[in-house]
Amino acid sequence: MSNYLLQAGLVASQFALAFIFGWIFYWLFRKLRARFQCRIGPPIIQPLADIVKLFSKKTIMPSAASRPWFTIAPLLALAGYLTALALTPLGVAAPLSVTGDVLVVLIALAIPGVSIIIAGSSSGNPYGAIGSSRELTLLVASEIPFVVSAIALVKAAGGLSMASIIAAQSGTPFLFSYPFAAVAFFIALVLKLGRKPFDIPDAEVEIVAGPLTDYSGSLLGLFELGNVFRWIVLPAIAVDLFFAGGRFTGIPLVDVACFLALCVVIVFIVSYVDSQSTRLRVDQAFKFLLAWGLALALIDLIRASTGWLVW
Amino acid sequence: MLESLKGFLKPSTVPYPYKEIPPAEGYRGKPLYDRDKCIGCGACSQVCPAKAITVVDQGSTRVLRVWHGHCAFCGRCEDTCPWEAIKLSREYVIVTYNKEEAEDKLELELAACASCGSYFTTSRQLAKIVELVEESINKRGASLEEYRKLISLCPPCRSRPEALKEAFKFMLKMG
Amino acid sequence: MSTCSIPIGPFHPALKESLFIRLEVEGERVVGADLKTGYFHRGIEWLASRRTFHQVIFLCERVCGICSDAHATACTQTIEDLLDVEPPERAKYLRALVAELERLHSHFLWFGVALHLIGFDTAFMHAWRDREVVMRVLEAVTGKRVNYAYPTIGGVRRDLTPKLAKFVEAQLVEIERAAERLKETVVNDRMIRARVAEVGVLTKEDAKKLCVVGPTARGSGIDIDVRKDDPYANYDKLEWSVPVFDQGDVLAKTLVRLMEIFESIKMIKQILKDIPEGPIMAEEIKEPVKGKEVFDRVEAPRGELFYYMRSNGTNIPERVRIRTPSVANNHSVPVMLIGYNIADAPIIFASIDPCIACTDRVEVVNVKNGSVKHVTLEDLARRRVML
Repeated sequence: MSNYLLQAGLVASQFALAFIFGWIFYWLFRKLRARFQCRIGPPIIQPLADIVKLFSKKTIMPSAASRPWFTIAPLLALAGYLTALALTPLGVAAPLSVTGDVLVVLIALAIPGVSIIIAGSSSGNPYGAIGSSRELTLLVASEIPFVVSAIALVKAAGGLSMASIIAAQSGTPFLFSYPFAAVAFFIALVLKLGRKPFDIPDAEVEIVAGPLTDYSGSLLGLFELGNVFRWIVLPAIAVDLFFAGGRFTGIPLVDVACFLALCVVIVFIVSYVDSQSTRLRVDQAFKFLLAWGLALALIDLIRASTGWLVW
Repeated sequence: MLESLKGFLKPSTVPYPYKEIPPAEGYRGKPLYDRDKCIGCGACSQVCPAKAITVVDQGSTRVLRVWHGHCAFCGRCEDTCPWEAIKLSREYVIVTYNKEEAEDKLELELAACASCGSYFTTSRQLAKIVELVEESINKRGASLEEYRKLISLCPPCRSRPEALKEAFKFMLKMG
Repeated sequence: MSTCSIPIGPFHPALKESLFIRLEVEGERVVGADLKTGYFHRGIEWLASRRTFHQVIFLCERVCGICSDAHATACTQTIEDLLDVEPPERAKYLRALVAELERLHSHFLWFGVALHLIGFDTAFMHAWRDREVVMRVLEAVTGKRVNYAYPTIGGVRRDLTPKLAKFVEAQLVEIERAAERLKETVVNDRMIRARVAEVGVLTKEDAKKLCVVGPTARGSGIDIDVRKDDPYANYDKLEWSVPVFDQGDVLAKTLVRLMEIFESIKMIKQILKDIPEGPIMAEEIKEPVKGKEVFDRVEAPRGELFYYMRSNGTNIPERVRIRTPSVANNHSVPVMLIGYNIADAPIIFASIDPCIACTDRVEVVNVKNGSVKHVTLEDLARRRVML
């Protein structure tokens, strides 16, 4: 019993820390994007202010929406991110870990995409329908390089848990031994974070806010909360898979500091790519992801499973 | 791409309302009355395209009012005023919770007719007329006081036979 | 596959003003489109018949915020034709100067909006930052950033001092650098090309049939420009050329506007060099003649702007009629939208540089028997509040 309490406490503290880091990274992205656009950018309190404001407003349910699915969608998104978060090492070991938790993390990270599709289809307006169909296309397109490169790394590490992947990088990080998988994973990362050139189903000029058009008040606040968690989970997984999770020395504080620094580097690169790109059309994005993402990930999958040309 | 990196270090925006950029010289902002020069002739209200300037006689005062809510900041009032009594300032902030702050009001005293007592024009206008003709009256040796008495009659009283006779006599004295 | 009906507007982030486009889509492809205007009607022509000639210019300036000087110049020129007044040479040069500065600011604005609609927010912010330089020049020259109130009957209202002329020249160097940066971005960036090339094609025959004007027509291979065909101000004394591209897609219209920025900069340099000394207002204005009708046209940044006036002998015009270029260009949008994706709809619509404030005509549709009735001026007069 006390073991469970201890684990619950660790998970809760992981969530709290992750909320703070996610807030900082989300703010950092917005500040960097503004600075690249020659603007000043928001103050650090902005993401929290947005969420608090949204929770203080009234939720308006459209009459054509289907109530249960409309309400469940943001909770599903949050659940997906939190599940992945509980299993992700943030510089030190994760509070929960099982064998095969890489698979659990990958599936958990597909759930928010599904929740956006549910949100769009259940809201009963044409913009939501188009947004959902675009999200479905992009979900399929993004899962492929994401999963294939993760599986390549699993093959290379020989074990199906995050801990074993990190342990297998004690010599060189996977970034240097499997760079093609890194590039494919990065492309999928930009899409999963919802950044240009792939921010197609999100808020945009063509379909108002896409699947989230009819959301307001607390439900939108929950989506924004999920967004804050998204900005810590996805860079964390990228750092864990390709940079040995920052565990270069054995000292926990130094490891966490390295981990955060590497996450900041990833946020920086994503912000730069976001600021220099236009938004692609759905068919163009699909072709790009399948052509480049899949090809690069497959190269490394073959390298990892057969052992050819491994360095 | 280079622009992004340059703009990174030096943003092109300022945190307005904490820091303002002053407008250029000659910027057409809110029109404001010069309290000393205006004589209340009302030329500004006649040329205003947005009908933002109203001149209303209330009892013994003439109220001139520029309502900034309708003002188009075109500057015709400034161009037309013969006495340079209304100028467009460089202030552009009209945002306020209080309607009285969005207007410029000027109240001038009306002069009463010496014989019938009705109000017909502002006392400043009469003073201005006297000021303008002072030199030529003194040159011709006529009496300024008499002129002043003649013009303090309202137009209906001025066209009565006795008043016309007095006026004619004065004009003969002027030569 | 059944068609679904997607509304764009009246409230939509893609539109700067209210307009209604209904797209019939199959999946992501647009198979039908319909356009409705009239949400922005303000009764300006009715108000114009209740203002004196001098006041009408300020009213007509406010038809549009972006092309306000084009409206003011057209209105002034029409009144000058009506009253038979010829402005002095210096005034003509100054009018052309402000008109070209306005064309610069309008095209930079359009680039910002178009780049925002295809998602390139960084270039949007940079284009609008460069537009600020033009706005500061306009503020220094005319006194305001929009609605400059610069032309008046017989000339212009403010003179260009030598100090101001030097300031304008210094800023022009900055503007030219900004235009070069914009050209590099638009011409070389592959992702922008992927979004705008071969999208929203308007063929030359369609363009002629629909009578489009301005950069929309010049992007489809039709060589028309009021400044060359019917010169006003001093355009016949300046050396410049009209950019025309043949492909008819959004990229062609973009390149037309880009080249027009460079031509405008060239023209402003010539004006600053060659401007003659002299008065800026005509000495004498004649009385209006009863029953005289005149029309005049001007090249606004969006195309040909057409003003008609009729006088009844008093100092108030009897009828003012404004035909803006956006009214002519709007009809090409349903034709251009068919066959392309929903994702392309905003950029196709923006490629005509819509100034919806300029299109003010109201239609009343009786849904019961499907008849269409145009609202006449008298109906509006009955319902309008007298100012």
